[in-house]
Amino acid sequence: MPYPEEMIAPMRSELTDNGVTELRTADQAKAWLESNKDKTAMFVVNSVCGCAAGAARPGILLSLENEVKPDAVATGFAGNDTESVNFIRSLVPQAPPSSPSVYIFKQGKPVAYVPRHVFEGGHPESVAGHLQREYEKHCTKVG
Amino acid sequence: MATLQDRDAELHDSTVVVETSKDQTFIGRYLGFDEKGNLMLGSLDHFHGGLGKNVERLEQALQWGVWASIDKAFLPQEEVTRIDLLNRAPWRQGN
Repeated sequence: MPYPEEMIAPMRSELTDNGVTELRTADQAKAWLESNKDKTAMFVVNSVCGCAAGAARPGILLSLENEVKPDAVATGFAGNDTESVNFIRSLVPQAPPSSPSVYIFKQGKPVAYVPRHVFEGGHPESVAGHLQREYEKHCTKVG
Repeated sequence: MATLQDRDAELHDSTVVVETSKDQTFIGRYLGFDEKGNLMLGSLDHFHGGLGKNVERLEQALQWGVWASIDKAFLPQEEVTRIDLLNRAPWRQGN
């Protein structure tokens, strides 16, 4: 059962107001990956939970202040944007569904995955640090 | 010495690894205690043997997350010999 849109609207806009592309359907997610197939792309599975609010969303935004970061960043909301989220999840079948979570793709292939437990009990700074270490490994964009 | 309840704030709603005196390992979401004082775990998986016998599975869980095979479990508190956050990888600590 999806969450009421009015309830999650501010959780969505915390990311989309900061330049993160929202993907709601599988076709949108496929097109996004295809259009970034020669770049690095990060997909954020957003969520209603406290660790998304307190750690994941602010930490992700903080991480994107890094010089080195993905070329493209998109998001889908767990429970509501099931098509796009399930499509992205299908590309990393060894990872159980969880949210919040982050997938990083390079040239269309998954190269990093950050599961929910990394965000649990974390702080934005620790989340940003974890993501920035992944960016340093896989990304080249200097923002 | 801290009791499990003393650690409630630290562990609540986080993914934990639990070892029991019955030579079992559980990994799942810490949910607190029920009215009988049993430790509640949600969305969990369970392995035979303690942490040291399940290193590969635990490393997989650390990297990818937990494939939940059990919706909820209630563990008698007195059987819990070790509990810590998955993120801390307690099986690597050697004690």
